[in-house]
Amino acid sequence: MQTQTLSGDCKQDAQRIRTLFGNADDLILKPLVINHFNAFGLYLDGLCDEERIIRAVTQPLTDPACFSSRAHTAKQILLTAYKGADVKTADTLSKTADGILAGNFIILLEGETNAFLFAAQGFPRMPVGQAQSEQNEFGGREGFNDTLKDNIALLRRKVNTPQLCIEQRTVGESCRAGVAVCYLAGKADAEMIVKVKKNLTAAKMDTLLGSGWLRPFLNGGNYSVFPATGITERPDVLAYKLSVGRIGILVDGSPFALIVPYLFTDYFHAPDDYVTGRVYAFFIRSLRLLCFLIALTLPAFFVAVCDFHPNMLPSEVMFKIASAEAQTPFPLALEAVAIHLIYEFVREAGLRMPKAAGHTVSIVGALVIGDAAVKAGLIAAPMLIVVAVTTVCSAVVSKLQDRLAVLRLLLIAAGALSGFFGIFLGLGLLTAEICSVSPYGVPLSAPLSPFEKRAFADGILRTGVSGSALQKPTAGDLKF
Amino acid sequence: MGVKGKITAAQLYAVFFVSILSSVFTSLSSEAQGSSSANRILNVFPFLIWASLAAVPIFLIIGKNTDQTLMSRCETLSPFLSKTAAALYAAAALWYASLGLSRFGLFMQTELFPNKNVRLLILIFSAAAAYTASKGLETLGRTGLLFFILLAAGILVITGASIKYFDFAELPPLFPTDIKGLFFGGFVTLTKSAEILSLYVLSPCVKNHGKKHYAFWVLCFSLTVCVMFTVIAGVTGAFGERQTFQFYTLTSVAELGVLERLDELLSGLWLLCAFLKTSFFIFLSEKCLRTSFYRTTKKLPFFVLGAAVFLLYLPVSVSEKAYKLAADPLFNGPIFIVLVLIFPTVVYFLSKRKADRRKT
Repeated sequence: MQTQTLSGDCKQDAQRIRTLFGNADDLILKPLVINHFNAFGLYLDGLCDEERIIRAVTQPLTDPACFSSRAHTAKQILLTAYKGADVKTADTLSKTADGILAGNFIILLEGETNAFLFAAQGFPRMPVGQAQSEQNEFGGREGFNDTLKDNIALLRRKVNTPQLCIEQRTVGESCRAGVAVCYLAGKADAEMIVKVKKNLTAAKMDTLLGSGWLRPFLNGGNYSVFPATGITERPDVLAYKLSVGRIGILVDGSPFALIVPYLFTDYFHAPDDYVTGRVYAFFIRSLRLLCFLIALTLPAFFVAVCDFHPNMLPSEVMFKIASAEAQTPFPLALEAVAIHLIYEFVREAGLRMPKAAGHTVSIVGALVIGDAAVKAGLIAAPMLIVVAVTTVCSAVVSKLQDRLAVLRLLLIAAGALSGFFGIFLGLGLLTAEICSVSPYGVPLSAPLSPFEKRAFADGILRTGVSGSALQKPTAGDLKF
Repeated sequence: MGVKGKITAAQLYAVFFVSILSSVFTSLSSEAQGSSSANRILNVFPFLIWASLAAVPIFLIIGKNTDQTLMSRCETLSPFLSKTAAALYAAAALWYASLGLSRFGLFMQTELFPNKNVRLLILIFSAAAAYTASKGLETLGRTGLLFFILLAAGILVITGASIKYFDFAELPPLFPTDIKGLFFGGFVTLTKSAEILSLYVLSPCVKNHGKKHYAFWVLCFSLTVCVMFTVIAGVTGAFGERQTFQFYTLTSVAELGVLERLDELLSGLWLLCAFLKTSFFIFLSEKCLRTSFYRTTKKLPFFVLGAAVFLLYLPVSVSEKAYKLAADPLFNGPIFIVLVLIFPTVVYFLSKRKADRRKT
């Protein structure tokens, strides 16, 4: 099918395309007469803006005043008659079909072996709204939406330099989607760009319904706990990352852009860091790191301290914990696992349920876990406090929440079985795991290990904003 | 542009620092052959001399550009010698890994899980170390640097938390009464630094490696050991000398706010150090074997070597006496001298003579 060319017999070609689409009812065929030539207009109902087709394509093209001679029809269609901006040609059946699927209005002209693709997309789309998953206090509010074109436009508005390169392609078989690789020429490392494109080419998948689907391919076959790709919903964040030599990948149908390479320290950054003072930015970044550590280890340490190392805490504190735990029928580890699982149930329910019912789940969760379970003597209050602190802390590093949920349970199990031994062994393995990720030559653990002074100054401490873009090391500088 | 499979000199020496410090601080007080606290503090000075001496054959073998390995030098003499050397150094790496593991196992048995069998935990530990080793030198180097930061912070916290108990009256008079014992103590510390063996194998994998890095590491390491033993002596005094693990005793004295006992946290820190040490030696052993005996990039050899370390650990960890026998400097010292000093020196001069003959 890919190599089947158009015959030039517009009626026959239109019928072939129709057959290709399985005689779909939403494929509209419009017979036209353009400068005495027979022609067919094709488009998918709902994907095109019909008013725009009439105003910018069919009306001018069917107006005899536009054509002086039969010999120049094709050229005139392209250069003079059409008032729109974007006209492409397709010489094969498959390219024509792709054009239709992309929301173009197609004209098959008698005697022409090329189909003309007029950009007339008019499918329903989400408006540009506020970024939902990355809130900030002082910065911009815009977030990406589901349409690739809009997202590219949003990015262009932030990175208004001709150095911004955007290369588009299509990935997928049954459910294809447009993918745009974005980078700043001169900043992004050439080898990294090649590798990203290679990984995208190697991404043989049937369905691509969002940027997350591409992540396993972009991680370079790395199955680490922490991926080498980041994700953002904000054009300003992507713009900043591009300015330090990262590569962005936008996928049609997803409001989330992928960022490669991604560093572990990036998880603790927020757009507000560059608006507030340097000292406060450093403080808040440290706080986020602390929250990550608390969210990861606090329940495990609590279980390990109570079960294996009670000497660590003052006897008054230990006595209070012990007396509270003595009231409950379950072992501490089981309590910890159970309450975390309940928390995950509530979180998942809150995410998946209709918004109106979400509040009900929160209230029931709070009442059942927070009050009734303690009053019934099923769960001790200290454990509840630990879980509450853990939950709040994991919300601070929301991008790591899913990983934290699993790792936390594993560490609780390790702590319950062998105390600090298990926890520290787990942490050692986790550290080694983080240090082993570097699919684009930039280690996930950079700039801390290997140490890079300038990147450390911005990635951990945060350098000043003035002139910093010029001094900042790019991702290529972090290759070791 | 980064070079795959290479680490920086800072990363390598961070691994050394963490790995060796764990051996020095977890060493049994009985291992010091009855040397006094004063000798333990002063040991660092003869250690400096011994470490400088050990550096001579290392830097002769690896050459000016640090692109040579001991095996490549042996290869110029005879392929069989190269294979023998690889097997020898791989076996030595396994032995040192098992010694470190036994020391840590003994610590676990004595302090963390008294009256419990820790073999299953050590088996899990070995498997985890083998897995980490299979991730490669870059991973070990990066992990080493992070652990180094953690260890440095831990030492600072423990020193700060115990300093209020520091009493100058507890410090022994720092006069070397037994010069022979002092030099022997310095040599014992050096034999615990078996990681320097790896320089014979890993030098080409280290970027910008030079003598100054080695010298800086030796100085920093000596200073840290000197300061820590001074703090231990000043805080625990004569009581500390009677304890099995002196550094652990120091941390059990330390207090930090509501955390009344830091020894439990320190055991975690030690675990990380021992974990890195075991991983590093397993990696070193595999590297020696891979260059001479096979070319596979599969992870299986790492796990086989991890199992070998565990099997070696079993007889050594039967009792403290068995460990002391295995760790006896009179046994390990000659092995160390042969592997670090004699064998490489002989290989160097033979290969040099052969090269000179070829020239003429």
